[in-house]
Amino acid sequence: MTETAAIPTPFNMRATHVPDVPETLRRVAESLRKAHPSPALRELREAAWTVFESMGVPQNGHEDFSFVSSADLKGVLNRLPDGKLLAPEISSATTIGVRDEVDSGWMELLKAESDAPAALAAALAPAPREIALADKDQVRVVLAGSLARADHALRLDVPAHAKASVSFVLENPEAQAFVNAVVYLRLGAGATLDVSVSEAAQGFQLLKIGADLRRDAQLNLLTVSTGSRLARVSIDAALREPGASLDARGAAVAAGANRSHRHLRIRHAAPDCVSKQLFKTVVPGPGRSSMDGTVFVDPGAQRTDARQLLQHLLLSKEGRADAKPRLLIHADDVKCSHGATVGKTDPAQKFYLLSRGLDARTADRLLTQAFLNEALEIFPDEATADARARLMDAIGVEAK
Amino acid sequence: MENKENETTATETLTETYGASEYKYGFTTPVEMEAFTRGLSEDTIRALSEKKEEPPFLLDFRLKAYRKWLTMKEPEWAHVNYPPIDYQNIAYFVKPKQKPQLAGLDEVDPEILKTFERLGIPLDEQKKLANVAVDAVFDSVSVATTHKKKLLEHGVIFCSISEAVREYPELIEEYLGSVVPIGDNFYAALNSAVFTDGSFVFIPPGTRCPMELSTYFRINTEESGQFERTLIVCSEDSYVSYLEGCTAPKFDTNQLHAAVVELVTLDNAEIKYSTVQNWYSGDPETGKGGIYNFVTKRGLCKGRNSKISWTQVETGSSITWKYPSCVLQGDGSIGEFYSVALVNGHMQADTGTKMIHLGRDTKSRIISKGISADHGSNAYRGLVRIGKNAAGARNFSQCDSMLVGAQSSAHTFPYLEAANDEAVIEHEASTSKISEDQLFYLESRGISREESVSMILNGFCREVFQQLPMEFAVEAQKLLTLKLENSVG
Amino acid sequence: MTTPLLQITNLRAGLAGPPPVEILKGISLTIHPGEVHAIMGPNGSGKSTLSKVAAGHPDYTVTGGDVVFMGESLLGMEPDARARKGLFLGFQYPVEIPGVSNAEFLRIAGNARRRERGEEELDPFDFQELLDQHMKNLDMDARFKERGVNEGFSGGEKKRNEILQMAVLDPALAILDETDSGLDVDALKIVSKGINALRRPDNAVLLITHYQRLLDYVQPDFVHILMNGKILKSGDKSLALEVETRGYDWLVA
Repeated sequence: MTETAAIPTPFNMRATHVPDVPETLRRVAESLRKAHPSPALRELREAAWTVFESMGVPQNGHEDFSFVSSADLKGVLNRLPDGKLLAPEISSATTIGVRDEVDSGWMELLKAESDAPAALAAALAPAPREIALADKDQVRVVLAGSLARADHALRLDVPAHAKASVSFVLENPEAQAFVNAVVYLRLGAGATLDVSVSEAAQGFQLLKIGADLRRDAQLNLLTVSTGSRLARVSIDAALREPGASLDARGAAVAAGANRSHRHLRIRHAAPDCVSKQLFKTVVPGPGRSSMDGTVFVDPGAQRTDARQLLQHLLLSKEGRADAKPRLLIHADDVKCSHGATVGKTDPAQKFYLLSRGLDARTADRLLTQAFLNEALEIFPDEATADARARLMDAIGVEAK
Repeated sequence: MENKENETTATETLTETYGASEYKYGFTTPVEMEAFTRGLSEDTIRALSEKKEEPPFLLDFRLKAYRKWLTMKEPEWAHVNYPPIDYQNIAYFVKPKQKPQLAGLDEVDPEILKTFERLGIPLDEQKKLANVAVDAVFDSVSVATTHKKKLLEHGVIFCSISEAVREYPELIEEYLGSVVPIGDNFYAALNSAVFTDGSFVFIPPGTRCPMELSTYFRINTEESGQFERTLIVCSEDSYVSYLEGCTAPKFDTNQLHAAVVELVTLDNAEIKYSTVQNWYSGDPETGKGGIYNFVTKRGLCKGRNSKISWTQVETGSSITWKYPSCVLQGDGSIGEFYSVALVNGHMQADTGTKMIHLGRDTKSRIISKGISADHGSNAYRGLVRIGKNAAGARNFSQCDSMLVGAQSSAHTFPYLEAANDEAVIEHEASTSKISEDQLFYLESRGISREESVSMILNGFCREVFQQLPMEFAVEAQKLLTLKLENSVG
Repeated sequence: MTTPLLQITNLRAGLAGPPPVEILKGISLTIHPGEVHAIMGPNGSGKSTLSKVAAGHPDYTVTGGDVVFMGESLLGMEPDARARKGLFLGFQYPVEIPGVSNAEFLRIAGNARRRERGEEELDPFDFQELLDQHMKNLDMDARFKERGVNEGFSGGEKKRNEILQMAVLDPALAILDETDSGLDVDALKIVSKGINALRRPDNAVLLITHYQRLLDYVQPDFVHILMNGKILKSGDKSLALEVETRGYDWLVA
């Protein structure tokens, strides 16, 4: 949703930009468009495909995928669908409006899409869904992958002053399965939405969350991941009107040799908005993690308050942790800060615990838990109990 | 002692230099210049090398670099915008007409000596700076180096790189291109092919260089490029502090400055490299003209416990693109980067550093202060990479931005890459503006608004200024105040 | 009768806004050389506003009346010009200014005031001597000189630093806004001693305070009670004591 033009590419001197668009995919996308009777859906797929075509499969050195294996990316994005209809599984569909027809709102979202996998998801999704949430709705959405590929596109609208919550569950039934999803959240004035994302423990997963916040809207978002062969979540939030506020957090453990990639684009497009991003990832073994976060402050977005903290605990010699915290600021009356750290558990804290009789493993576990807790605290304990247990399991296996 | 009265301290002369807020060095010097026809080809390079009577290894070095350059693309990733540069429309070698080898200063064109005097860098034996040795580079060549004899008594070699090629070819062959390989990047390749002059410093083992060394660069000719090359080698247990300063005349066109600086420290050696850059930055209203400052600076901490410290105060150039970096190869070596980058008018800066930790227990520290005023755009770009074997490596980075005016912008792009779990990386960044409360507090103590702004900004940059040799710290502060005079209402 | 140092007549002022808020609703006050005045009042009565308006804080606008200082209207005068003329404001919450050395700041400010008075500027050495003397009187550690202005100072240290500045600037009129807040008894004694040491027949002090505690150490000649943007009652030291025991409510009734 943010402007790609504003994001410069990295130190890589040889970055080229020739969109890589596989011919076979092109044909599949075309036949999909022709097959569907609804003109609206056809239009949506066409717009999405045009956007994807302009970007192509992200290549080596792409700034937004700097730490992601381009071979893996290419491998899964080039897969062809097997023709099965894989729709998102949406709970309590009776209380919320789910429409199969798509309206013009999609066009706006897709035309501004800057994430190539997300555009492809919308172009290929067999069953794009729109969900109109009502006040007090609590919805669970399962986005399942498949051995071929499973693309999902969803739009959730929260009306003005409503308060709702939604949890997304990504599932990969097999180690080679792939799920590629794009989710757009639109929060009306004064709306509040709590979102939690539970990622799959295996396979390949790409999830893009686009969020659009109007006046005084509030979005609280937590992503929980234990990594997988390829796990990338991209959050692209725009605070469009004064008073909007975003709290985005991530708690992750790159278990085993898993990978976990977090990608954030937060845009302050209006004055007096607040954003907070707190992402924590533990790399207990030979896993790999990256966190790539950018805050944009548009001209005129005065009195912006943006804080970003990206933290890694790197507990093993074989592990790898990369971070890219960035600020692009075009207004002068702002408070912006970002921090990034990579390190082990604090030796002084560890010693303190050891001196009280705890063994090293327990001490590490406690400290790691404390490290992740700050991110989990966004929601009440009972809401995050499963996530907590899952994260601690992922560490337990690897902790030394 | 008899010359004492004629000797001028650096502080005095530089104070005069920065006496007005208008760009004071915007004059040109009317000297007869000898220039190659514009454009670049293998023939131009051969002719250049022949003219300079270079040994075959150097011609070979240049040709390799040129061939490499032809295959490379101009980088587009920096956060700067400029129209394409026509590399065939640059005069690659411009020098004052004079004898090929000068016997002494009396043979230097008096106009040039006057120029440097106007710039506050008297080269004349009678007036030269007492505590600083200066190598003065005018367009493509070095015109004079002061205090050479005294330095040689300590075994310190400080001369133009052309002279070093003639006098110390074995040192040049060993170290040239050893830190910045010829194909490192587009501009470094171009520089390796066509560099014309620059400074060479060699500090022998166990020697603390008895004075500050300094190079002063001056671009005089319109549509010329300055491609200088600096190489500093610090042997075991030695130390040198080196300072470079730069100015250029006002032209409506842009001049390209694509320098390469290579530093090497052996065991326990330390190089402190300071830059006060005030190239002409273009017309403040229209943005027309000014220097494109595309520079590759890199230091190699080759020896154990060696240290390289970069300090830069960047206040000029229409576009600055530079990342003074440290490759921390020796165990226990230390890299530092202290930077103040000021942009106002229509200036653009994309600057920062790379700290590559290879050895064990290596440490790096990055302090970057960016000030953006008017329509200025300031970007910090930094890379901290911890290699597999860099156990015990530590990095601390702090990047603060100050915004003056709603049209200005500040960007921070750090890259942190860790492949060793025994490493600690910390990065902090903040963006702020001068608060009205701070201004009111100072004003309520009788200090004018303008002076209050200047005090706060200098306070903001203090950590960096403290790293500069004393005389230059004072000057850097004045320069900052001066540059901002028209930006702060 | 001597000419007044400060003459406030029917002053109306408040926050510039938006939206504009009137806080001072017609205040008149006259201070002569050699006098100590105290303004007391509950929270939100306009005490701090009065001090900030006098010093020229940009957030406030004057909508009526006048403030004449040493025969000249302050309205329309920049804050730094007011300070050089001899008006000093001791802040309730002194702001931190990182990186700006306290000593250097004091020297620049001190010399600006000296220049204004046609006095010789002090060179760094003479200034150091003067500063060391003042700091000794205030029981301040020498390391405060090299720290940034108020940077990392505790509440008490900040207040002492305010009095140090008052000593260096040697103002004709010092307005001290809640200088006693956040001070323990020992610190209060030191600060009061500092204030008393600076009193002369040709200068004056206006204390703004919440409690009468400070007035035990710096004896006021006049006490004014400010409530809802107006001076409700003026009197001598006994008025402060009365407020201490009876509170403010009886004044309204």
